[in-house]
Amino acid sequence: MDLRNRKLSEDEFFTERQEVLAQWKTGKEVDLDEAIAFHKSLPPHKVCVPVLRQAKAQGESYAITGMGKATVEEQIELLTYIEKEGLANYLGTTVDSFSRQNHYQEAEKGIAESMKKGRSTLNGFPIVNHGVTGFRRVIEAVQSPISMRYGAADPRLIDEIGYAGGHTAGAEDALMDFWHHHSKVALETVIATHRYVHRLIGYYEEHGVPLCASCQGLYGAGVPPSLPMAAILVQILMMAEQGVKHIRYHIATHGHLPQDVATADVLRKLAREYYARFGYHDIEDFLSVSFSLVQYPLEPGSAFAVVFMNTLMAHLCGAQANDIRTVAEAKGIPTKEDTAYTFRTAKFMENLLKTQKISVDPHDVEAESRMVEQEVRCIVDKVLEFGDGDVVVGTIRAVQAGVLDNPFATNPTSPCKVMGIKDKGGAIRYLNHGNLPFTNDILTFHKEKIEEREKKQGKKLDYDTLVSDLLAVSRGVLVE
Amino acid sequence: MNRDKTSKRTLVTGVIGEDVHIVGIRILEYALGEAGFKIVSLGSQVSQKEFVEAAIEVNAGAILVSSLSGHAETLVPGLRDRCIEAGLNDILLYLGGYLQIGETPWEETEKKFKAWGFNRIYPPGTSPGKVITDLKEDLM
Repeated sequence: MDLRNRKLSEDEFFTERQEVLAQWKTGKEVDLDEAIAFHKSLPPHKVCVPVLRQAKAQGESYAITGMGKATVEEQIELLTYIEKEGLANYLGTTVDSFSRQNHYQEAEKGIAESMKKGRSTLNGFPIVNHGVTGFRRVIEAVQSPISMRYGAADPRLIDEIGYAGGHTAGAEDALMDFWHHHSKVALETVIATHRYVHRLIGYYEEHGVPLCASCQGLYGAGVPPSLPMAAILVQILMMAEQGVKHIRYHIATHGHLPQDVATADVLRKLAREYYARFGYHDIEDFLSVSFSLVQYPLEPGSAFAVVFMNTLMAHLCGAQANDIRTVAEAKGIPTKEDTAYTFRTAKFMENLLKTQKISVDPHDVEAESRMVEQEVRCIVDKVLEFGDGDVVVGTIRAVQAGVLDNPFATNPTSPCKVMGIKDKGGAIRYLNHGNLPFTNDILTFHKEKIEEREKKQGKKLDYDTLVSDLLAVSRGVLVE
Repeated sequence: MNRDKTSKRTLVTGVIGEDVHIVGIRILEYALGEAGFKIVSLGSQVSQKEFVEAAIEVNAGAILVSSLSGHAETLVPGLRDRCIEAGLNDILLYLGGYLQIGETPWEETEKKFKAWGFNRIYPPGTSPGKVITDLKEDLM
């Protein structure tokens, strides 16, 4: 496998494509020319890029969340309800777990069972099984754009069908999918399948169809922001190389507002810098924010407060998408009413906030920005050094070496040596930096921040502190 | 089987089945590592066969199985027999997580999984400190 950061030629892409479309019977329905014509016929309010652009121009953020039922009829019922009762501007298709593992036969059984029982027995919408024609019925029934939401080691067929069906945004994130969504697939394989889907998006872009890719790097709960940010920056260079033109960065926020705002600011700044360094001059970027909890509160008052905080953070960070979990997250799969209440809460807050300029103390933001920027540069520059300037080669080596690490990877080949912990103010610091290539100044900063909390609490920070940090917000405190 | 003191302190950990929920076991691994145990982590989506093979390879003192899908009743029975068949007669088997869907009294859950050959069963919310204390006691 030739894994360097170079654009797949059309020949390579179309050769691989034959194998991809043969993975399931609905693959043969996909006709790229027809799909491009269909996308061009969509009104702008049904396309993610213009809708996100409008949010950016108006300084507004739109609520988004996962939504997925087993059958086309149920999916239409859910999405039209969220539009009407939840006042949604932006919709999503959550793909079911069987499809994410490419087990389309199992998803087929789930559809049959759901039809028999009259209720969805799948935890998402099986895009591949319903095919292009199935999803076309969904997009025709709504007035908002629909984005795909899922993670898979091999997203190729889901994306072929999802985009041809009329989705205008997706979530193809190789490091996230390698670290969190499958424990047995090699990083090289995941990078190759994602290179294909980014090339597919690039093909649509070359033919005048704007699609928005997204990238979050890794699940951010309990992780200092420089690590997911570095994982985003290396990947957007891979996406841009394949011809992706619109990228939504997704950040996990922790509730320490200066650190959260600094994360958003530094990410936008460094992304522009790295695009320019590698010659990608025409990327339009967007941002989404989610308040990242390990455990969501069950009690309704607290659950609504989490939605409020998420909306406030999206506003402060200048995000176009307010990526929320529904108020029923702690209970299980939400009902359509749960989702609509959640959207209404976010909309209510957003309407009150959107015309106002609110800011977090600029000195605090500046202090956090300086630190996170230094950390990210150390990591990304080491990745590029590992690859002699090639970001794909560098990323593969860096993940093996723990220079790009993740405390909560499912894949046993990851070193998982880093660990984050909160300081006394609630910002996330490195308790253990593992093999991250940090300078002594950075390490001293984190050590001092941890010592301040130890002094305050009168004890060493240990695994019990880690557990309490991860659960703190769901108990209604930033740091205990 | 001869086990010296060092190998007894080697633990095989992982999440059984199709599930990818990893945060709990990763924090436990971190705590166990700090407490001086050697951890051989298999990550998530681990089969019974993989747990047993790894335990043989590293001559482990215990296998720590995590399960958060609620499907432990179908995933873990038979693990003790596989260990015995493989000659791991005295290996400790610990299990923790969200083991069953629905609200079953903990005593019943514990009794059921102990009957399947697990030495210790832990409910959600167990402190890593409890597991460390138990391991030290059981491995003495």
